[in-house]
Amino acid sequence: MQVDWGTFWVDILDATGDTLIMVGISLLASAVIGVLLGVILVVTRKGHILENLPVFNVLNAIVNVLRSIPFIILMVAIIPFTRLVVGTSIGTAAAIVPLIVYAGPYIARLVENSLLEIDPGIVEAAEAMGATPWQTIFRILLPEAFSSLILSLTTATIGLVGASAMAGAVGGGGLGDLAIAYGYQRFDTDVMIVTVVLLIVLVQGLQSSGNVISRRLRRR
Amino acid sequence: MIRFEEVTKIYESGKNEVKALNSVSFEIEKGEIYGVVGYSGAGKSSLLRCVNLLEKPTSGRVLVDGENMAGLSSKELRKKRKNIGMIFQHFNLLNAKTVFDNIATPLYLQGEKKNVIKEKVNNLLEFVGLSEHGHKYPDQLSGGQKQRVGIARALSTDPEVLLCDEATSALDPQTTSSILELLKKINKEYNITILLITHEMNVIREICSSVAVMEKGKVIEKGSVFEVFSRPKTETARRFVSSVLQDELPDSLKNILRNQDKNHQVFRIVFTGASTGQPLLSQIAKKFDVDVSVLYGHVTELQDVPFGNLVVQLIGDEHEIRRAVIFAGQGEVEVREVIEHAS
Repeated sequence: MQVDWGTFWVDILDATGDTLIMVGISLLASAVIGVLLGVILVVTRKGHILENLPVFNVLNAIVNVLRSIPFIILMVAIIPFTRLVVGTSIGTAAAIVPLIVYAGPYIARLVENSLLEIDPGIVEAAEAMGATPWQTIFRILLPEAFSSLILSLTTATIGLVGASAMAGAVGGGGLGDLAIAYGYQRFDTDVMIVTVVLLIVLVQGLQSSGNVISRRLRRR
Repeated sequence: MIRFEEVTKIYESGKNEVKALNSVSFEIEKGEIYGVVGYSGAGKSSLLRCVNLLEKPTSGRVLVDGENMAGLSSKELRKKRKNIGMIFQHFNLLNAKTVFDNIATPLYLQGEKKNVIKEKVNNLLEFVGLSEHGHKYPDQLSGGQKQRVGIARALSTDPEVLLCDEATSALDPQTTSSILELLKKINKEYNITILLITHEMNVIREICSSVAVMEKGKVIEKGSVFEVFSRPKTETARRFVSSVLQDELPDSLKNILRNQDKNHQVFRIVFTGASTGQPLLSQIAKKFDVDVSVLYGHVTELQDVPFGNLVVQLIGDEHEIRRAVIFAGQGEVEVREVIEHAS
């Protein structure tokens, strides 16, 4: 079947918009959740400023469990939860909920790694200055890790672009969905190439901007 | 100013217990520069961290200005810590912040006003000799400059006590001297009590007034720097002193001495204060029937007092040597035999 390119560009534009919305909103929400969880995973571990092993162990286990479920299964498994949150289990909004549940723990791990890279001596210096735990987190740890956090978030964003392709399974739309529906299932190579090229451009753009921002912040 | 009372610190890792500090007691007077020296693992670092409670003593008390650190609430402790500056071997500066902001960090944390911060930080930058470098980032600085930033940061809250954790151990000898000069200046101009830990005895010699030698979690020797340098009591202290004075005779020389057939003995003669200027050896040679051969000699200054250290060989019969030694040992001069009588 031949595609009518005149009207098809409109579909592609729509799909691009859907992808950007899905990735954008889920990135925002999962970044908040991820940074929060990541910070807690760092400061509650043994010997850190707010050591609390029960909290650390429970969170650590939850993050591991969520991280080990394949996205497509997670998306279906949490349909009741999705319906509870956004009132529907199909469409773009319905895809955003599982994307957040998927990316949140992922970002938490990335944030955790970024924060653990900071020399423990700096935390010690903050304590010696009389910083409160709150100040240590927001005035010392996060600013020190900022440029590496940006790189982590870039990685997470690209992961979200990939995961959002599977949102087609719940009628979420987006570029990935288009590529699968037209290109893969209908064997329309042209459409597939166009959408895949657009995805490549998107990912390249994200990675390059992430690199630039991170380098600026590192100020070397 | 700082008082350790039977401070013990035990680390537990699984079934193993490590006693990092074993009932340490001593006191540091206000305005003093007190040095703690020891090999790595002696417990110096734990001791230092017990002062501002980065480490909590397992038992015993640390009093700073009469206050028991472990008895403070966490709010009181944070306030108290602002009164105790600390500098580190690896500087521990914030890499994402400029030199200016690094020094200002403790002031930001206590919510100081912008214009107060600006004036204070600029003064500190000038004091540590970094006026031109306020806008730079730590990785654009040399090690010595980084430590100056660390020092300025530690001084920003006007502390009464400064803790130095191996502050010069990562620096070359020349930079070490300049940092030690700066610490001396801080001690004099601001009357800040300084407690420093180090494994380098020359740091102790250059700036400390008192010293404690630590080994296996215990203070095995303490006293004024002059006392410990001129009369070390323990083997460890003696080795530390030798590392600076380098007054050990080389083995090859010891062998030659051992194989000499004439009757002789080798003595260490320690001159302190005014006695350093006496022509003691020529007097001995004139008064007694002995020959004097100098094997090692060194004159230095400890705490602004001249300090001489000689190793001499006295050759002659035993009776004359004994008389010569008794003569030499009068006044401020100390004489003791260093190696066995060759037989």
